[in-house]
Amino acid sequence: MKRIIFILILGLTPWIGFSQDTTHQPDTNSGDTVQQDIVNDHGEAGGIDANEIANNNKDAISGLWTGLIGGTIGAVLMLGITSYFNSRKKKTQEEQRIPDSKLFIDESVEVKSGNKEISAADVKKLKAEIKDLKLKLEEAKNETTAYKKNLDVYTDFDQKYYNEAFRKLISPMNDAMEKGSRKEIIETLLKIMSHFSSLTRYKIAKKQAYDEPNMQYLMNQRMKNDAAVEIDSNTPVDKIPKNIKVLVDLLSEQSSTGLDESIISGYKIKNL
Amino acid sequence: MKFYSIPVIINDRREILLELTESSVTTGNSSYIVEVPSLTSFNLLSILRSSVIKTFVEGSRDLNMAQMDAACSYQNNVVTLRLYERQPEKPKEQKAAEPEKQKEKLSYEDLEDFLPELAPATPENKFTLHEQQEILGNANSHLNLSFESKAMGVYIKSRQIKAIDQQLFDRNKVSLKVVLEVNGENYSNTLDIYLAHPSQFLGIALDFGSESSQMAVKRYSNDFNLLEKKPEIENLFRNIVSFHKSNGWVSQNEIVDFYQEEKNTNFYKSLFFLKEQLSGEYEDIDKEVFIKNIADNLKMLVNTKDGFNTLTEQKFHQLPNLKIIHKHEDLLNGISFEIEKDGYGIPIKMSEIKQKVYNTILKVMITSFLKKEFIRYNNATRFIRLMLLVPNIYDTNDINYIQHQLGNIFRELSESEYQGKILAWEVLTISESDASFIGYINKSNIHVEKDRDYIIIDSGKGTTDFSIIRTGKDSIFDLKPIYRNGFSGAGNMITYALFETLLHYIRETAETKQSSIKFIKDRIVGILTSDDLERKNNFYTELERLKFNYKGINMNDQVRSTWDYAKSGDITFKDLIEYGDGINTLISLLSGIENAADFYHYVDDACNFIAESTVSYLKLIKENKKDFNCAGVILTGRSFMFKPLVDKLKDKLTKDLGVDGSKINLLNSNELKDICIKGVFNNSIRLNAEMTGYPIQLIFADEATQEETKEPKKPLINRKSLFARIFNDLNNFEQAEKVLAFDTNLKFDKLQNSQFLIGSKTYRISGNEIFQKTPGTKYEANVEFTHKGYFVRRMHDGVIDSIAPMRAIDDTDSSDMSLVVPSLFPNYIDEKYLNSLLRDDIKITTVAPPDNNNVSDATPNQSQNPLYF
Repeated sequence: MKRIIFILILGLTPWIGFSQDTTHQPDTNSGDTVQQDIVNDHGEAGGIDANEIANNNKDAISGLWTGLIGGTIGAVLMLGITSYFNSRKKKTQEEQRIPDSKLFIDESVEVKSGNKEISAADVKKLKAEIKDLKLKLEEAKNETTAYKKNLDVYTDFDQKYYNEAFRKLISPMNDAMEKGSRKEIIETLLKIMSHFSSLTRYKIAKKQAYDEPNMQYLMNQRMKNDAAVEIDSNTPVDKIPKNIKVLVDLLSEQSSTGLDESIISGYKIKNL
Repeated sequence: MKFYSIPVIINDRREILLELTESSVTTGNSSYIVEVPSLTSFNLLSILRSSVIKTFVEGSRDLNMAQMDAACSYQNNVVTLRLYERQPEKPKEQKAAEPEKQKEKLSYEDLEDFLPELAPATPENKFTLHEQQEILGNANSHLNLSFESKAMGVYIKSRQIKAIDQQLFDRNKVSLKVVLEVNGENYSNTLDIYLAHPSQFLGIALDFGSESSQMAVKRYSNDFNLLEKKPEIENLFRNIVSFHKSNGWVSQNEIVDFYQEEKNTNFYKSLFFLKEQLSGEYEDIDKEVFIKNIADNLKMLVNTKDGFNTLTEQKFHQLPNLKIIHKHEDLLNGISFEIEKDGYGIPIKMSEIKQKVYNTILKVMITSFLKKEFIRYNNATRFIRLMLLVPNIYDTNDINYIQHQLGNIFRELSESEYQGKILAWEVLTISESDASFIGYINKSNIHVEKDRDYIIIDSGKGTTDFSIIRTGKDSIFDLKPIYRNGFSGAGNMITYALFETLLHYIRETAETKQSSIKFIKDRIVGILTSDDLERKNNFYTELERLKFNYKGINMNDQVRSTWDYAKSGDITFKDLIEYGDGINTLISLLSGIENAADFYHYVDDACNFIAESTVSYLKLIKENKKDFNCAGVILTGRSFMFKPLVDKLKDKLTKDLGVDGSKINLLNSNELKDICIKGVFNNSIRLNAEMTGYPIQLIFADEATQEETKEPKKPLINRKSLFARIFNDLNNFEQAEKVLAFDTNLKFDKLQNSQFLIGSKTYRISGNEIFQKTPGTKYEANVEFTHKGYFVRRMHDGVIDSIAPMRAIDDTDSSDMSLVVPSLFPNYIDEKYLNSLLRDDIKITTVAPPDNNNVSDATPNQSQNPLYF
């Protein structure tokens, strides 16, 4: 029974890894600490390094093929060995309870004595292959763990980000539309624009220096090196860039006080 | 008009050419303020015996002062100095004896003896001078006047007859009438000298800089000592603010900062804005010399809060450097102004309005100070001497015009607001680079040699000016201008070169399928030429910082690698066009870079241009002035804070001019700016500030050959280096034979193929008459400066038989613009002059084929930029 489980694991591991990488299933078990660690450990500004994600994806694909081939070979070999023993030891199979570590050695001894077609060299070769496969199995297990961890991070990030985005952007937008409040619509639209831009650039690994603080703000995380310039009611008009001035005007027309901590083009518009 | 020109020295400090006319018409500036020293006697007017009275009367000859007799009278506050040719008795005897000698010697046919007779023996020696000394009478309660005629010169002097105390003089004005009697006709001119009691004297020096302006003032203490005080630097900016407040142009209670303030200095930044639609009642637009309704139309103070944006909204235009655009008004053709009159909008060109603006600014600067002066010294009366520092690119006409307008400003003030307070005024101009030299010799621990040539090179932000000054044989303070010139191209040109380097680098490294040129034009140059002050400022701050942190060519690779690895977020220079946020990302990328270097030789070209141009002009003098004897070179100006330029210039000066490296002095510009403006108050320095220098005759090849050589003059199609194009202009001079045209050195035979380089301008002779000659006659010619401009006089046996005026050649062509535009950077940018965008030899980085493994490839709009704000 144990052998069947082993074979199944060996054969299916790459498929599990692959499916984990692509399905982006939310993992409710991963906590804030994991996310925080990753955000802090990767990238120059302490953010998630999307390059790493891309590399991991590539590794996942190459790992998939290695696992598939390895698994297939393993499965074929195991099936051959198993069917051989099934024909010879069919009756005693269920009674025997051999420890896992001695399984292959004992079987090979029996094979050696019972079947002349399998030479000692073949057995040796098979032993080596089995050893190799065991190593690969170990690697595959580690990879799976890493993918799972990464997946957890991503799913956690996505879940957290989109939950917050829903709470801070989507939901207020719906409310604003329902209320017919132009002020809130303008404010929320600009916030959406700000965060969607940051997220998009982050996802394509072309983030601006201010994108990370922007995302951290949305996810209620502590912001590091937030170098954004604040524009408030005391900022001299001459110190406001034209591309921001137009937004300030748009907000002022609606008597808005600003966009809180959301960063647009490196500027925060607040306390207007 | 017939006149004689006589060099006179006023008060031992200024040498001027006094033009004596038949009708005694006063020309130019005729009022001089003489501050009366408490003890010593002093010269009001001196005419040196060594000088020559130049004639501008056809059929007459120049007169040697040594041959002139002088007589003086004093009546009704007018001193009349008569100069007349003495009828020497001895020479008559000699002349009578000479024919006899000739007769005797004719028979000997001795060539050696014969020749000296053709040239008449030097007559000066034959005159016996009657030394005279005469008391003319009392000029006022404290001073008398005397006349002296001595071997060295003719003098009108004054001496104290009563101790100078706090009691003011009862009379101040003395008119000096100089009359020249020649061939039975009288030529005369009158000067007004105002004898100022020390407590009434006020000296003002104004440096209207292209970047910033400053003012210094000299007074005497008004106590029993009446001592000369040290010149003080005025806070020009504060004065202008106070003036605006007192006129209600700025709210009294408003506490705001202004862009015109240069913190912790007394400078006033030269930043001016003029309204597009000018209001005000202009009777005659052309004749009106000032802008009307200053408060509404001309902004000299702009608050840092919303001033710029408000002005932009109200359609005010910032005026670029008034000095550089001096002759390039066409640059601003895009900006049009209008004066509304009787419901019609009369279009006014920049060239027409520019001078009015300049006059108005000067007026505000002067008035703002005077207002304070008369508030502080409530019942005071003043005799004012104003000295304006002018750039070398100003010619005689410009200087005359400015002097005239300054005179008008004082006249207007003395007739209205300060009637009875401004008693008299004197307006002087002095070249900025000359002032630097005066500042230099005023410095302690400086050794200046007598009778030597000094080269002063002043390279500021927009222009490089240079002068050659000869110190006197007897006194180092007797300064003679040999040459003054200047050109557009200095610090701004180097910053422009760095800007070009940056654009070139972006073009070269960008990995994009889009047009990098379009990106640069729209997203960088577009912003820099817009009214987005904040982003422009941020960008220039980074560019200036990089200029300060410039590394030499040997560090190119290292610096380049820091540029290559510079990041803003995930974005590098490679991604700037494809993924960047326009100029914002560029500014952010630049802020992450520590140094700049000259990857593509733009900076080297700029430094080369400045050094080459300066040295080429100086070489003209060195090679053609036989007694050129350079004792030192003084480098001053903010551009010389850029070491590669200093190195390049030193190298050129050493190699091409043979100047000893140890004689090249680099001065701290900030220190010098102070010394320089204070130095102009030095009364012991005698300087002719009117002349722009000696004319240089440029003899070009015959027309046939000229046609051939003209071809390469056209702008090169290959735009590899715009600076290379500029050098062509200097090469034109190289091709010409050059003669330093003074003391009749001028080559008359080649006059028709000649141009004259005087100061920064090229002139040619106007009219044909002077070229029509009688065959077989030997002519000589020389170029003379007058207040009406330069003239060529043709002489035959010492008699002037033809006089022709010289006209400046209008050489404003497109190649000039390639100099002017970089010099106006960053206030004016024109894509047409951005070499980094024009050249097609930039190796563009090929864009890699789409990477299938790239996640972002999954998006269908991959080639488009992400959202910009």
